[in-house]
Amino acid sequence: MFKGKTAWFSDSVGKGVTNFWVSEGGALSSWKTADYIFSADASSEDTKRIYESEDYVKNRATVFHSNFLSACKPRQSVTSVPIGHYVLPPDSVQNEMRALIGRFIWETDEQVMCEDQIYTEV
Amino acid sequence: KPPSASKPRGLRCSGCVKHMNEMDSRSFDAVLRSCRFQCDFHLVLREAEDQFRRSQQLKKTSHTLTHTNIHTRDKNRKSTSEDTERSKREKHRLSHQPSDRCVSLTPLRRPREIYSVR
Ligand SMILES: [Zn+2]
Repeated sequence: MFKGKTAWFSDSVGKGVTNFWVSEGGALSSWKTADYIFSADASSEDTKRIYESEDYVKNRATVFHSNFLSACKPRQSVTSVPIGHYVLPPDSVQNEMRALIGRFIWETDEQVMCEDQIYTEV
Repeated sequence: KPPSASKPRGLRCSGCVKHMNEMDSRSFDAVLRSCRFQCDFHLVLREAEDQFRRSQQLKKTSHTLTHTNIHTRDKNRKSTSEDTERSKREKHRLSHQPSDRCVSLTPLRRPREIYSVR
């Protein structure tokens, strides 16, 4: 599913999700070079470092919530899950957005959360 | 066709419909910017993120200034662009107060100039 793609995972992401990525042909790399940057917690140190980086300031380092991958798993397809709502912005941005828009997709989709946990335990 | 499709809330932009093969961590922002229409979610996201980036850069700039330029600034009161920015803000803030005697630390622009710069 992820052949030819590279990703970086924050320490906040469960091992199960990372294993899923690798088992589906995805490669791992540093966050500087990865095609996809995944995190499960905007306030974890390694993710905050990205928000403070030059790449982020230049709009070249969008962080996605790792629940995106959990959503892809039951569907066995990356094209049936739009990735654009799985953005994980810095905490202050999240708060501002919650006040104006409501909850994020990765907060509301309980089914996805369960998938995530089940897979982590395997 | 679901009834919600006609509501403005249901409107989607290219950031909403693109899948993983069409967008990654590097191109996400460019995809959003290339699209004229943006849904509420992505519009608010972009504005809030831009604001975050600006405050991030400001933090960095003032950090550098305090550590490297503090000497020069104290001795010569050089008017760097940062200083001008700061005094402009200061001036703007203080101009609402009855007295602004205390503001004239650096050679300030005349009021007319300040307002023409916006
Ligand atoms: Zn959108």
